Amino acid sequence: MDSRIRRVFREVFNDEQIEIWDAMSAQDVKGWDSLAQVKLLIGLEEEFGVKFTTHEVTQLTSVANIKEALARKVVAE
Amino acid sequence: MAGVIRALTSGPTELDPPAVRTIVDLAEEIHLREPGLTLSLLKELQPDAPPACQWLKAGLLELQSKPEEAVVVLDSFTHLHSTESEALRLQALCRNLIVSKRWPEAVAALKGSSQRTNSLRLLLANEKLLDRIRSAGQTGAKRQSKVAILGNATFDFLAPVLRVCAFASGIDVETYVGSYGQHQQEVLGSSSTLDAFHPSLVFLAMDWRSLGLPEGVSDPDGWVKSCLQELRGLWRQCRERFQAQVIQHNFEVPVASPYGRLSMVTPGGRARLIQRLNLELWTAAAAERGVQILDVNEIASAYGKYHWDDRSLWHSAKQYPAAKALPVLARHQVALMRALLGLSSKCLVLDLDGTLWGGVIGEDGIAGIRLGGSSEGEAYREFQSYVKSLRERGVILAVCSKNNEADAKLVFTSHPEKVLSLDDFALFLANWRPKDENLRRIAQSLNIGLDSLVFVDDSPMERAWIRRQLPEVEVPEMPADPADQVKVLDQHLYFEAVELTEEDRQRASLYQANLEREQLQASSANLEDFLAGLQIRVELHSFDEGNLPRIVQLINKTNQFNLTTQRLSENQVRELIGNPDHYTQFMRVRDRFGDNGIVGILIASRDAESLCVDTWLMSCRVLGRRLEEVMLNSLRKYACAAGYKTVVGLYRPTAKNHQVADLYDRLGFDLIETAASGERRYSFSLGEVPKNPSGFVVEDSTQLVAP
Repeated sequence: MDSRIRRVFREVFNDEQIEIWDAMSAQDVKGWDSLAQVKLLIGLEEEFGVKFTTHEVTQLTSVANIKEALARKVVAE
Repeated sequence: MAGVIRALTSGPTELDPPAVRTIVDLAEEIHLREPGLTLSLLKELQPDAPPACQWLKAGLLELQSKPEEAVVVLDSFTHLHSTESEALRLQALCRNLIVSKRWPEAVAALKGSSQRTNSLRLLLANEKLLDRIRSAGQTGAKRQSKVAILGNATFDFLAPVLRVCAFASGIDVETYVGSYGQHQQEVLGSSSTLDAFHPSLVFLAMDWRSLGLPEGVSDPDGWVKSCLQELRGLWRQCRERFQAQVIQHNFEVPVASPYGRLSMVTPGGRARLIQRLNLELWTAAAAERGVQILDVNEIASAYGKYHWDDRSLWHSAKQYPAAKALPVLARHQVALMRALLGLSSKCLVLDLDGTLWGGVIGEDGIAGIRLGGSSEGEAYREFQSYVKSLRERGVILAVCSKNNEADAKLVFTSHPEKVLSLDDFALFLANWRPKDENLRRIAQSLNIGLDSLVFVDDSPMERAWIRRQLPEVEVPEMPADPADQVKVLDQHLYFEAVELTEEDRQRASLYQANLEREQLQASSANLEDFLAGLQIRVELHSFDEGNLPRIVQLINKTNQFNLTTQRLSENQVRELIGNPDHYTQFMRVRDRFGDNGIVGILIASRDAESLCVDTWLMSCRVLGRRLEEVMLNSLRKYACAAGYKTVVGLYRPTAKNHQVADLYDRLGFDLIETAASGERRYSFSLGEVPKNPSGFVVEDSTQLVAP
């Protein structure tokens, strides 16, 4: 799952060198603003074929949170 | 390593995008952790191995900064059955071509990739590549447009998607995105940023929420009227402040209503009012200059309204429509832009076996092919009807098929269920030559660019061949089921038009008459005889309001006989009507085979004591008939009478207008100067006006005021 999340990050931030770690959040990445947040959301939904609920969308603030939300979705489906 | 190679070589030959992405990730893992493996893989993976191997190899080469070699690998195969994977391949190809600074090829690859996919994610990545091509100034675009998108949603996603979709259609778009919900203030008040941007096109992309419409209204007539008035005010402001073309999105009738069908039953119901407003908008826009409606309600319906509007994304990010629907909206916006800029496709080139009927005529014979009479036959028949209607609205049809000509023609003369007949086609090329050769011939005979052709063929091999040989030609991915052909061709919006002119309706018969003219030419001993035999009657008039649509259309789409390729908006042309500083002329030509309609335009502007021809063009339908002499003679006559001393002519070279490079030389003008850009300036001292070619009947009502 990590490499797939990383791929989405690389596309969103247009940077092929980006690596991700669990605690990584908006402070750690230049350009992680509200627009990038929506891009991440759309990218993750397409990559994993899931749809986040309106509540979950507000929770996707760090890589750890993203992984947790995805794990719930992917297992559930 | 042997394991990796075995797994990849024995894998499926078709890959979906997730598989492609996984392989690209694998390439990175190997590159980072196993340099030794990288080297041996590059040696072991053969050019004839399946696509999975080629993707791995290309990924490794890219990571090793060997773009040229990656290009060779990525160019060596195609995904015939997955358009999304093909879009990914072209994207990777483009990325490597950019690094190698091979710009025209990079542009072609990126166009190809962007045409093939409606994935938001892929298009956004493509837009990043476009950005690099733009920074290098290498888009090679046919047209530029400055587009403002204003409305009550966020357009941060729509804008890049629009840019990349427009680029795929040859339009270089710069975008301005309005602040959320500020469209009225920005248009009516003074927005200095919008002023500075000075759009040439404004999308008023409000949605139904902006109407503030409650479920029921007590004065429905008044509501519709005041809505229209408000929108009209915005249009006029856009026209006055920026002289911009306006595209008004109409309003989606929201799918969820607590009133259900009552929302339509009740005169003041919400659904009913929005439907009424939408209907009125078409009428209002038709009465207004430079305003077009984009039928968003219909686009949303066709897409499926439950998917069109993503409520969660609206609440969290004010995104409308849904992310996945954005590319569809952008395609429709671009199709309308193409129509406005005169870039819509002109000719539909059709394969026969498997496209216009089922089976193979050369093998199965008239009785054996499937056309009408069975469910599959009905599907082909329906497609023929759709194509026939395209012809009636002005699309030129041609046949390009690998067949014996006699076999192929038999269907159109004697099959009981045929809809199309032989004289529906301007050209009928049934032979065994490669299809790219035939397509070139079609474009040449019709005197139109390859980029005006749409090629429809059921064979994936032929499609891939044409895409490779002639990337300018539009090649839609056709469905395996003939019942889906109409839908697929329709969805591409190749032939969108702003309005239907008389010339459009007659175009098909015009081309037919042209073929008869060619036969006369073949039987005439020389040009003089041929022209005399045509019995040409020419009418010359100054520009007027009634003929404005056709005049604007010609100015914006003529490429070959066009001295300066100066494009003008409807408004700019309108300002020339009756303007004493300009001489305007349009030419209508008839002959014994029919009416060619308006086929020539000339505009000259006062420049001290001389008159400068800054626009001069002629439709390719009437080239080679000495009509340029007739047009010029009229100008000379009036210029002379008005007291001008000289006529100045300009020639600006483009990729397509070299056939008129020496026009002024031929007409006896003197070359004054040649600029570094290749632009040439000619002058002609006025004196006696020569006679028109013999046999021509010329009626001239143009006017010119003395300076």
